[in-house]
Amino acid sequence: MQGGDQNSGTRSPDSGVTVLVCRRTGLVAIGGAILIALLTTVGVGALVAGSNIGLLFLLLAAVTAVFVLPRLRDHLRWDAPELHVQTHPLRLGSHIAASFVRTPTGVRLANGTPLSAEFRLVCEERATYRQGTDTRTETAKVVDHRWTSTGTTAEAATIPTTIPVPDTAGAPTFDLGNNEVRWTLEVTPLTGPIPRSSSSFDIVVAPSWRPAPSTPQDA
Amino acid sequence: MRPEDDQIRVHVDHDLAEPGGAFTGTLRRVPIDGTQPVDGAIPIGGARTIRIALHVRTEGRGDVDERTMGEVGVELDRFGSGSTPFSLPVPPDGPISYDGRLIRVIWEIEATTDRRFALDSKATTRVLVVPNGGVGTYQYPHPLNRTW
Repeated sequence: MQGGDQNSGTRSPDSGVTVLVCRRTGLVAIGGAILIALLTTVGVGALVAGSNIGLLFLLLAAVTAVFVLPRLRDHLRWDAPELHVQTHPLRLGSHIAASFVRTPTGVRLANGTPLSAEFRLVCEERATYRQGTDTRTETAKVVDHRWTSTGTTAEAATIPTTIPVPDTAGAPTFDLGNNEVRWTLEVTPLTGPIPRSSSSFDIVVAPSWRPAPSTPQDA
Repeated sequence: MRPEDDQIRVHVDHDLAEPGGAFTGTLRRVPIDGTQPVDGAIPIGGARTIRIALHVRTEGRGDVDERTMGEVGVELDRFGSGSTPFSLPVPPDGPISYDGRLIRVIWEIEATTDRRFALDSKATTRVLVVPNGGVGTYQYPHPLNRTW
């Protein structure tokens, strides 16, 4: 009954912490690189064959490169963005400790550099209906909560935070076919030596309820 | 009155359960006293079995999703003149009863008599599936104290 993890992979290391991995950034970078290669090949081939339309393909390749190359550079220098969650699935009314982690592969990080990121927790209702031969999906964000957290660099860039799951809005994750409730956590780095691109993690909220705690760190 | 003119009443012990729990209740045979039908009961009308099912369905903007999450059948011959308990498990992963902006999730227990050569009779009771740990707090579909 619970929704899938389209953009994230999940693995549970020995510590018991669940790690959600955002794969989207890598897919955009690799897919974009393949597209640039194709456009360039076709463009050069057309120019060699004497057709000026090759210039159009090279122009498209250049425009695509402006968008893709920074992401490709990040993909080569950094592991995929990770969200380390203390307990997953989450529960209604709970505050769960989590960390956004970027691990460098092609750069060296100076210890103790301050970092910050905006976190955005979204719960979305998705209702699909047929109208004639069309299929339409209407969505409504029933939870849209933003906050900022800070962290520092060490071996990896780590920004700890607390995910507040409300019990006054939204619903546990479910997918009945035409009617679905999804939760996502989007992280956008604001300061520090890490890529600024947003990472989106699909999270699962279980049909369990926990009263709102008196302190935010109760997980 | 003939026994086949009797009616069946579905009594649900608690109209609230958690995922992984169960709805329990009793089927009670109710003799018709005079010509007055019993409120909320369904006529036996010669049926040999009665089916008790736990349904979840949606209302709202999307096309309706409807699923039967559990079902028990009771042979009326064995049912006699007394009462028979039933139990319908609730799946551990939900969904729970929900009253959202675009979607409502509704749980119901439906009793249906299976009658030969005649229309089946149905009686429906709306129930609540609340989050684990929410019994005693929830009295209506999630969410609590909605803010919109």
